[in-house]
Amino acid sequence: MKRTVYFILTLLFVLGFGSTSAQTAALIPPQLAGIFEAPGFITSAGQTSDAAIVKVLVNTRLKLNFGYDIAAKPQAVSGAKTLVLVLGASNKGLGAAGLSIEQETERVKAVLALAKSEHMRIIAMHTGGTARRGESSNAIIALCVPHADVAIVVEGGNNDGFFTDLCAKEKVPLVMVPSIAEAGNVLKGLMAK
Amino acid sequence: MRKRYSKALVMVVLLLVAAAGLPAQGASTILHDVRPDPAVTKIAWLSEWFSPLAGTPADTRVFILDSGKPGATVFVAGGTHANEIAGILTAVLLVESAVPQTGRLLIIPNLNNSASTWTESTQLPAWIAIRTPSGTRFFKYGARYTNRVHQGTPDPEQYIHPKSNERLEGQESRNLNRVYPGKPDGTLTERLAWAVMQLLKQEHVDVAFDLHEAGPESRLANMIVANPKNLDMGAMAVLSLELEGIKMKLEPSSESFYGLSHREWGDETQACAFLIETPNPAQSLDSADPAEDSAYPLSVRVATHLASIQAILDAWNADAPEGKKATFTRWSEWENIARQGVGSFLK
Repeated sequence: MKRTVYFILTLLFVLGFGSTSAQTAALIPPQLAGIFEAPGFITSAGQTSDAAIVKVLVNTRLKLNFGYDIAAKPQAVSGAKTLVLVLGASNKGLGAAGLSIEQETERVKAVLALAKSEHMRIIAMHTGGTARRGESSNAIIALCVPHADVAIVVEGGNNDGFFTDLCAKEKVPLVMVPSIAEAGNVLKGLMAK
Repeated sequence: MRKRYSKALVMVVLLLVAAAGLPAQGASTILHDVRPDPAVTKIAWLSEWFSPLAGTPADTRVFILDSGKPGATVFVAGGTHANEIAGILTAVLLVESAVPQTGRLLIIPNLNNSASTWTESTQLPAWIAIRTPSGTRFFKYGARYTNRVHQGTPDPEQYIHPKSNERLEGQESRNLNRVYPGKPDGTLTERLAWAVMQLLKQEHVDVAFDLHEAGPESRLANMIVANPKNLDMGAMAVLSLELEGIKMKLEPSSESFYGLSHREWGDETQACAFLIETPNPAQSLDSADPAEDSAYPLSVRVATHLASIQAILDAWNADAPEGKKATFTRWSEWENIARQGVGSFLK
């Protein structure tokens, strides 16, 4: 039975991600649908391991074949047309990358500058819920979101309205989604066919 | 639930009587109430992988379920911390209900058996009573640390991990999940860790799980910690679990903090190593009920462990070649365990 459920879920995942469902389409701002181009590249902003989850979602599940480096330097990102920044500060992740929060902030600033110089479109994603909020996370979110063309946020991460207020202030379209899987659906819907 | 039942006393006496008939290597250990399914093909002692552990209070039973068909070797450990009861019961449930179709399942329900011999607070229960189809059963609620009486040496002022030179409080020398990979001639806790490493290596374990709990407010609650080499498997599992309505976080092992199972098992053996954490309210507040808390019932925590193990093995199977897959039947479903209670699925 368990295997059957898993099979069905997997099938739904595959079928669901094969095309944008009406439910997902309703979440995507019409002016943004299909305007993000490949190749895409995923990196973190704050060294959250949520970036690894987004990478698996985007590449293994959605087969979008984005580049990935959780601690990418600007030269690694160069050439991409869409940059996905997975937001959230993680002390453990920073330690693993051998970075202080100050060094990580400088890395993210450099990646953003490169993205701007190469006219990349930027998708800011926050999938880690309340665990990826707090002083350090908020600072890095505030650094990235103003540069983004869209922010996709899994609902728990915006319980306090932080993203709502920031996106309104910076005039960045905010797409709230109920799950990480739906965040992937939205991302796929944003990409040019 | 939290009283010390007279039945528990009877159980202790019975266990001591039963232990008297054991081979020498098990004579000084607790013999927990685990009732193996016929799918268990062998019951070994951990000391079979490292003989100096024999006859010590840290020796513990290893339940082996061998399908007899090629497949992955999967290792599941509960009771690294003997007060993290959901991990122990998950392992017991597997011994009593899992049937491998391919490969092997090696299960240690009470990994730090010495830690099972004491309780850190008089407010905490010494036993957890669970209603099962065969009557009420009692499971030992122990401590986080090896019993200091068994350790063989007083706690140092500071415990310094030999690989990282990380300095921890002295009592952490009795924390099994700080001393990996252990030492063959070290303290009892270090020898126990060394024995686990020998098992993982000699049995060529492919996927290894260390089942834990943390206080509900802890960053670790409802988290999968993965060795960096198998982080993607963890990510796949988190996504699958989300589809089932189970929200788990994911973290890689720290690059600088050594001695933990997910770090050392994964670094020093071929195993993909995972640690799974569920929220146990009694780890935040001694007066909280570790089994019947309405916000964090034990059944949901056990179900979460099982679902996480299944999701990780599904991720393993997605990439594993034929002959290396891990498949099991009679593995109770998350919803059923959460709804009906873990006792319904024990013998």
